[in-house]
Amino acid sequence: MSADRNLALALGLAAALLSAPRAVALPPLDVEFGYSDQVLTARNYDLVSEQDHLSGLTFSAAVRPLSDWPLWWLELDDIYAGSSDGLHQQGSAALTLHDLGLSILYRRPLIGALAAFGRIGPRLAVGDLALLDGGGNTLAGQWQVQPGVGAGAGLEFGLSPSDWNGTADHPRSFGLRLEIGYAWFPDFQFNALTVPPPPGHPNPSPIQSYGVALGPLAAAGLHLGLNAFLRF
Amino acid sequence: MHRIHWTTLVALLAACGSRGGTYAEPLDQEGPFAGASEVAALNATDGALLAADPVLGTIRAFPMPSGARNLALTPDGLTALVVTGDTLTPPGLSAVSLSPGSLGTQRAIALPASPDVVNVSPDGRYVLLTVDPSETQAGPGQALVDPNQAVVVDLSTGSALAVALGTDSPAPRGVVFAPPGQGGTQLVAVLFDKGIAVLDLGAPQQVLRVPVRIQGGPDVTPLKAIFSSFVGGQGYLYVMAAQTDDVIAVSLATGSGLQASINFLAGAQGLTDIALPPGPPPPATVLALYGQSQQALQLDATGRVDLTVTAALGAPATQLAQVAPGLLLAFSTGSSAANQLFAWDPAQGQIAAATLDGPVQGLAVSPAGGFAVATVASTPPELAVLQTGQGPNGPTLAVSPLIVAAPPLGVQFDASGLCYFAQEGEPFLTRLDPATLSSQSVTLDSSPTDLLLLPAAAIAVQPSPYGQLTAVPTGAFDRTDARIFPDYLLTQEVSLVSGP
Repeated sequence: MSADRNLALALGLAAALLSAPRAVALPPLDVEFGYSDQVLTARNYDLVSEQDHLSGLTFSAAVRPLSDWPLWWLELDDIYAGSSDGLHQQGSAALTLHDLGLSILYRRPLIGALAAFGRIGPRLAVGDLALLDGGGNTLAGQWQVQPGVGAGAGLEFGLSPSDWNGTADHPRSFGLRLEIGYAWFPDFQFNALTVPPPPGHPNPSPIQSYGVALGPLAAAGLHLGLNAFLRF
Repeated sequence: MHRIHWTTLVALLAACGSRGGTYAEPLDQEGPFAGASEVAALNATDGALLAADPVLGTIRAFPMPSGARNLALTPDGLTALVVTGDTLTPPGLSAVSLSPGSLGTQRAIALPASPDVVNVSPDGRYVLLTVDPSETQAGPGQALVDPNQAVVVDLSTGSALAVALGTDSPAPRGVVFAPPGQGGTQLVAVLFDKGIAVLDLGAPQQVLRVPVRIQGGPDVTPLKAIFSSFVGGQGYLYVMAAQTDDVIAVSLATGSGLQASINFLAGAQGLTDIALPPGPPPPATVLALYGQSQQALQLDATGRVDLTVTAALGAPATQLAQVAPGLLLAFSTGSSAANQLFAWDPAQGQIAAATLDGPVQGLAVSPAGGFAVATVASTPPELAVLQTGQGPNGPTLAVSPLIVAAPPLGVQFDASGLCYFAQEGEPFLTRLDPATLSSQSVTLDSSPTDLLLLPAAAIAVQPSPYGQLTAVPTGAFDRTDARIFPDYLLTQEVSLVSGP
């Protein structure tokens, strides 16, 4: 008797779990991947680029932590970009940049499959600038980690069938996001590029180098992003 | 009211600006030069004067006006001079302080004309700007430059005055300064293909044009000129010219305006160099070296042949260098030159000879006196330490050869008499005590192409696309204390090109 009751209880529990909406059991998760173009307001990136753009790939993940606040999300994103260009016909300058951000995001359905969002939060620029000779050997380089802030707003357009039922923020959906924003890193400058130790040099202690200060390479400007999102 | 759509704004921003053309141009570099305590260089592409302090480890960039070029330092190494101005901006001269207390302080002096070859007087007070001979060849649409135009700048007052040198020659071949005189007198001689212009930079309105012409013959071309010291406003300008073996003695008087008279001093055959007597000079004496007749003569400037003192060398020599009070070295340079060199006492007409393992390629003389180091073109390459002195029977000359791994470069002495040098293709800097022949070497990370010497540090100039210096403090002269200034030509380049 008791065995039958236990079996019935287990089956009932399993059925309840399987039939429960995932949105109720786990916070909704949003994953995005796309393209970002930073339009730099200063010309300082001229050192590494022919245009005042820094184009890169974006990846982000967001969760809705509080079910009572269904329009608020917490998003972690990374914009990875790089650029390089010739420098005085002698070599080149190359920059790689990770623009990491943690944002509070507010998403509100508008009409049909369309939703609007805005976000703001602290950011962290992790950049590496290298001066290379004509053979691609690093002459000098420097890592920079600088805090900043960023904000953005945009539109989302759902492409999954559920979105066409009038619930743009529906779980288990996918679509496109278009965003414009601004990121500001006031102290992002390469002021101490140093020489890497010569490979295989017979002396155990390389000669120390003073840093060369190239000047501020302002990582600030407008972002224009186009992402595909998957929400579940 | 019109509203700008955000997509329009983004499109406008995206279209704004393109890459600064500056980055696509090769770096136009002048220097580096050794100042009193700083190494100075000009990045003419970006218009920046760079000053590196090897003791503090700092390197700073000072923006210069448009068209910055022709960097020169005053003899005391405390001021950098840069000519400015281009087709859009008027000509000027920027004087930038390299003194530790006022580093970077800049004074712009407007120039009334555009000659841009910088010649600085020995005391650093005056600048004479002359025309670059290559700029007088006007291209299509270019205005001809007057090759006889010059500008005199008094750095103490900031005044600039255009002067017409007024010869009928093309641009100057060279400029020679006299030792600074009393009352602000600063004589200078500008050498032309035909004749010499002499002026007092303290009163540049009067230009004395000295035609140098052999009697009944053509004008001769001055090759070298030296001023004697002036006593009571009287002195000489000695000239070696191309078409004569005579030394031309131009007697100058500075009392009431410049006045000149000319003497042709006959000596021997094949005049190759002239010099002033070493030590406290009798003002009316000049030294002359003759390659063809292999003689060295002390000549009286007034033309008294009975005062001529002759020394027979026995081998040709083409150059003179003062090495100690009362003594000169006579030697030849070049791969086909003779291997002999001579210590010469001109007052007594005595010599001491020595033979090296090859011809002399260069000579550095110790300011402490008595020693010199000659770079010898031999196999294997060699440095010859030369020690001169006065013995009971005349001058002495001792040679100590030092075998080196590669041809030496940048050989020079510091004020205390220690000799520093690098070697072609070898990653070393070496310091040599010529008295004991002991040496120290510091291993660098790459081979230098030149050596600069500051009181506090020896600076290896190393090949790198954007410039590299390695400073080795002269105190310990050890690799541990050496420091590299990498890519110094790009200092603050982003700020300079993009603006603050």
